[in-house]
Formats: sequence, structure tokens, C-alpha cells
Amino acid sequence: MTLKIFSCHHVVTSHELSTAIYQSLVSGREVPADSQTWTDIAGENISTREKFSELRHQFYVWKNLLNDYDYVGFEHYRRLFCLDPRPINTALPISPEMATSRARFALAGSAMDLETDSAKLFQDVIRTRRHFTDADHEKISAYIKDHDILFAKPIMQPARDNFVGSHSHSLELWDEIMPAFKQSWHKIFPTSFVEPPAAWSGYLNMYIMRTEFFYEYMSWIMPVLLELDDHYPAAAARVWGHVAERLLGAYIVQKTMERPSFRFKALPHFTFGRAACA
Amino acid sequence: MRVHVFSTVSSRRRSFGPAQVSNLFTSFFYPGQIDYQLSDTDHSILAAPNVEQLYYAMQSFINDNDYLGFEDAAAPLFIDFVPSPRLSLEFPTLFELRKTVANQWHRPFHTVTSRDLIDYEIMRSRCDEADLGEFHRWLARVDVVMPFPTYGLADNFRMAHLKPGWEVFTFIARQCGVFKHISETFFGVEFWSFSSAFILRSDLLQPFADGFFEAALMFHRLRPEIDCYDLSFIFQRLLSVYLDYLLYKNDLLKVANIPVLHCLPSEPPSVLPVDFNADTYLRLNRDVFNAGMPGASHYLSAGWREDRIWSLT
Repeated sequence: MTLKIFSCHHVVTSHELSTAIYQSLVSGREVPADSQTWTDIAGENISTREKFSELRHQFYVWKNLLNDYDYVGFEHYRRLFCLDPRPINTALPISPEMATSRARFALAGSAMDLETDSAKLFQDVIRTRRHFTDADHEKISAYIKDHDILFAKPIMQPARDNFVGSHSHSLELWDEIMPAFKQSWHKIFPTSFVEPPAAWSGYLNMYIMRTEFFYEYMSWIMPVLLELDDHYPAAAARVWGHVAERLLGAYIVQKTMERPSFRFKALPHFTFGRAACA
Repeated sequence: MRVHVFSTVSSRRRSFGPAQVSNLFTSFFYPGQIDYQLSDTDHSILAAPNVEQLYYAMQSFINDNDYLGFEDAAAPLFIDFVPSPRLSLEFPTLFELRKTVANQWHRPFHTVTSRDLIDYEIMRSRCDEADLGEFHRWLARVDVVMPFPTYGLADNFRMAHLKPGWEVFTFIARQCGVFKHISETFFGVEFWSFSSAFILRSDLLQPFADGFFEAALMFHRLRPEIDCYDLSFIFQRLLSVYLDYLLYKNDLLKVANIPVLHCLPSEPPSVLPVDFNADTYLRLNRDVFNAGMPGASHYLSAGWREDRIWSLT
């Protein structure tokens, strides 16, 4: 099983990752010759469309790299999934802070977003990932393979209400653009069990998906978003990234209705303060 | 893949009508009808439905199954693998329920009527080999199945009026089996409720069961006043401690959260059940007794919603 989780950057980072599983990916930037970071300008890209936020990275993977992987994932440079394959007895002496975080995640009962300003913890997570063994990578792959989609802690609130919360002046925009997504939806899903948006939203556009689902999901949302970007040049910053977050729920509901054994799960993640990962 | 789910038919479930015929992976379990063959102890303390169920399963089924599951037939796990087109045709109400669950998958339970519950039992009983295969493929990708934990008002009430206090149970449990290895932190957090409904890989269930029964017998020896209803509650709490610990130990433990179906009347009852006896109610719900509350008013105000039992028959 081939898997790549892309860590999405908007500037070239010194915390770059290039392992069997994790790969730093920057949008719209040249990278130095000795850098291990990948850049989306190496292929078909939308790197100049800044309102797409991390969707720029996703576009690049969708258009250029999908044939290489069975699963692809995306996280942010300062928001990192917690996927630790080590038994706690191994992890504890290496980083007590990571072990404490694991206890917090375990006791939370469901996926959580652990906000922290700890630079030490950030360094521990990056260093740990760099030192994962082949056996560790296999454990992570096996875990992911047993799911169809994993995603960051979602927002359990109707998508429209939640969108208005982050773009209070864009309610009209939301109502104007939804028919386009519905039209595209019915082309992708002739047998539709849900009308987008759903009663809940994804968050942060952070997920790990089986490639066939990622392709399908992108084929639904991305052509519409690109058209909307042309049509609404004055739309707010990052708006298309925010819209996309709120469409994930409908996609997962549809897949669950298509096949009840569809496996999805919300994963815990760290959110590091900007200073912690500077 | 071998899996067996025990569905306990309580007096509460019986009040909805006869249970439907069991099927390929579920069997109904009738409390109080099992010969435990316990020779060295008074087993009355084990007579709480969830504890009794586990004891029976551990004696007779653990070696023959890859997974064992437990649930209350009045609040079963929503195991749902009939293809949507067939479900919408044969069980339109359950099809709508599937949609609701897909949209509100984070909820630990969904309230249904007794008619829905019986339909659900019929659906299960009509599962064919293909449905079962779908369930097995899904389960093979999972280590633990349980509802999302949630803060439960009833649990907090029980905790507040538990005698002896939780710290006594913690002290004793931490001398037994797997619980010896679990840090006190895991016993001290806010408690979560998930109705004793779960499916667990057998190799993960065994250490819990060994530790729990060792602790249960020690509770009984050291604090004879503890009865099976206290133990039923302690069982849920220790299971919660154990599952949190498993997740801590193994960050990649595969947990599938599915809801239980909670069957409630559409309105609060205005009268008590015909066979309700306040003394029996207080005996079976010792936390209510400890709180000094009258049985009848507690049942009418909260007990009915909390699935409190009021009768042994």
C-alpha cells in the first residue's frame, strides 16, 4: 500500500519532512536545490490563487501525483495529525510531552484539536516522524488502510450556519454558490442520498483519503470552485478553502449511504502556535 | 472471522413485546438462566445483566470467537449493513434512521420508538450471508466497536452517590490483573457513559475480563455490602478505564464508534409501571436510595429516561 501525507506550506520551511509517509509540499515557491521539500510549481498548479489556501496543494496532488499512491493525505505546517505507531513504553522516555498528549487524546473520548505553544513538542513530533522505522511506517499504513477516510475533528453544525460564523458578510455568496455545487454533485452521484451541504462540516481541509475517493471528491468540488473564483474576483481571502471545508460532510454521508461498511474516522491533531514552529 | 454478539433481554426489553428470533451473529441472552458452575464463591454478586453476560461469554465463547460483543436488547448497537436500496424498500423507517445516523454520527445514541426497535430486530434476523459478509469485512478493520462516550447525567449522579466511594473501588481494582498497570490518572478522569454496549477483539477482551472478575470477587470479599447493581455500574466504569488505557497504549487502536438505539416513549410517563414497587426500585438503584430520594418521584422525573430497572422479573 502506498501512502503519502503532504504537509502543506506556504513558505519553504526548515522543518521539512521527506519520509516514506510524510512529505513537505510548498505552494508557489521555488525550492533550493538541496531542499527535500516538494513544490507545486513543478507541475500543473493553481499556486497563484491564494483564496484556495491548502486547496492549492490538493489541486497539485490531484492533477499530478495521484497515480503514485493508494492513499493521499493533507495536513498543515502547524497542524499535525497524531499518528504515533510506537507503544507508549517506547514513546514515553523519548518525549514525555508527546506521551502526555497521547493520554489527553485517549481520554478525550473523540478526536480533539490540542492547541499548544510548545516549541519543544513541535520539535519532538517532527523529529519522531523523521526517525520512524520501516516497521513504524508499516503500522501507520496498516492503520490507514483500515479506513476509507480519516479527517481532522469536524464541526458538528450545519455547514451554512458555520460558514456564516467565519464569513459573516458572505451569507449571500454562500446561497448563490450552493446551486453550482448541487449541480456538480448530481453529475458525480446520479444516485444521491443527500443534498449538499450536510448537517456537519469538515474542518481545515485536513484528511487522509483512499485515492479513488480523493479523486471523486476533487472532481466534485474543484471545477466549481475554480469557476467561482473567476466569477467572484472580490470574494474574501481564503474563502474557497473555507467553502471546501464545509462540503466534506456531504461527501462522507453520501459514501456511507452508498456502502454502510465505509470506514471514516476523525483523528486527533495538534495545533501549534506560529511561534512554536517558527 | 468468528463473532458473537450477546443481546440481553431485560425486563425493559420484554415490555416492548417478544424479542425477534436471533440470527447469524447475534443471540439473545436471558439473565438469570445460566449455570455458572462457580464453586468457590457466592456468585450472586455477578448477577447483574452486563456482568452475567460477560461471565457466560468468557466461560463458553471466548476461545471460539475472534470478537465478542455485548449489548442490552432494549438499547442495541446500530449494526447496519443491509444495502440501501433493499433497506429503503423493506424498512423505510430504518433507512431514514440510517440517514439520520450518517448526518449525526457523533451522537452516542439515537432515540427510537419501540416499533423501530422491533423493526431493527427483524432486519437483523433477516440478514443474509452477503450482509453478514459485509459486516465481517467491516469488523475485520476494527479492534473496538462502541458508541461515542458522552457525559451522562445519570452516571454523574451514580458516581456522586456511590458507597463506598469510587476511590475505594479504584484502590482495590488497581491490585488486580491488567488494572495493576493502569495509572491512577485513568481512574480519576470524568466518567463517560456508553451503556455497556461494545464489541471487542477477543484477545483484548480477555485481560479486561480476567482483571474485572478478580476485582469483583475482591470487592465482594472486602466490602460484602456491595451488590450486583453496584457492580453493574462499576463494570461500566472499569471498562471505560480499560478502553482509554488501550488507546493510550496503542495510538493506532482502531475504534469504530457506532450509536446505540435508545428506545423511549415520546412523552414522559404520567403514571408508574403497573408492577412498580418503590422499595424494590430503591433496592435496585442504590444511588437513588443513598441520595435519599423517593423512588416513585425519581422514576417519574428521571429514572424512566435513564433506563432504570424497577423490577427483577
